[in-house]
Amino acid sequence: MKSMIWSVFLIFSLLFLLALGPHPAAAHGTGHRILNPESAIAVEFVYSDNEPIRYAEVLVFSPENDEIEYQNGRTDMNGRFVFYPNAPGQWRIQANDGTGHLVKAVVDIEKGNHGDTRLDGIADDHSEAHGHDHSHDRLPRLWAIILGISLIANMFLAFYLSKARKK
Amino acid sequence: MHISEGILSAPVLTGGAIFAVAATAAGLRKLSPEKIPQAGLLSAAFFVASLVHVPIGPVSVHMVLNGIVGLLLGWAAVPVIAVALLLQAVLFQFGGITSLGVNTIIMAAPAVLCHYIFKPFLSKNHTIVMAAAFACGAAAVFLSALIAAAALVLTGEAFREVSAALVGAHFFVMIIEGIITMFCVAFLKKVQPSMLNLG
Repeated sequence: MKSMIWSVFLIFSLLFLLALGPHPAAAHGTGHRILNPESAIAVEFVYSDNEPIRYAEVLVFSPENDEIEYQNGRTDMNGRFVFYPNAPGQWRIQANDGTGHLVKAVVDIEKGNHGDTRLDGIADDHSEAHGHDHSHDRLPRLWAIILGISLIANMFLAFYLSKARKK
Repeated sequence: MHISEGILSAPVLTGGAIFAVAATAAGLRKLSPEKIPQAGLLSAAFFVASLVHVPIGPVSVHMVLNGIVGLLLGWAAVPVIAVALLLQAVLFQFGGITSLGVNTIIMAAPAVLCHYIFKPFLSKNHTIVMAAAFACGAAAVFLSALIAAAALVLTGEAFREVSAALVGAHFFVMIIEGIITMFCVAFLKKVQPSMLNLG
């Protein structure tokens, strides 16, 4: 009888110690919650011809930390990326398609409000922000093409005249 | 294939700018007054070609035309490409001002190289000329993709992945550029052989 009491005591002691100790191999339960989409920030990255930048690597930097990203991931097949900011301030989101194209977006998060989304350093072939109206501060595409060709013609004409004069 | 602002490291940007300035100066020196109208025309073509986007699978690529520009102009292709890239950066935010030097090297170095590799074949028989023209257009894009990958690698990207992505994304562009270069050479040989400087 005495030995049985000791055995039960030992087993309970062992279980108690196991419960107190670390659980490196313990399995966690899993589950999911559908979050309120209104508090999420969704950014769409596009090339200048409005083609989505698909599966680009995305880094999100919070207002507090400019070096270590708050979140990383990839855009979806439509060039979109969604994240949930956890503090007010200026958030930076950059998408890099791995072939030399980088787009940076800045989102101002106000306290209790999501603020305004704007594209910041838009780069490469890929400049216009779909759904944002930064296009108004640029020349229309056709006019930019005509201006470019005209500038090329003028530059080479000036170069021709300077070479001809030297002769 | 234009590398944006903010991707490359300062040493890569500086090195690219130095090489580009030197190559542009050499190209301008080699550009004779008789060739200037042709150079202007090709610069305009190069400028517009990059605006023609071709959606291929998950990526969007654009025409380059550095093969035909290099084949026709040789060293003079460097200032021609540099001017077009500058205007693309200013007017369309393609590439960028700080990466202009690197982008010039990416596009112009293969153009000059292809000129010296493929130009001697243009005076051979028709089949060889067509094959050389196709190879010139395709090889120029391929080499540009490799140099762009090298520039990204020097900034810390993994070469194999970047070059595979760039070459893979531009595979169809290589074929299209090869065909365009072939047609251009066939057309010029027929109507204006003097532009090919076969003499």
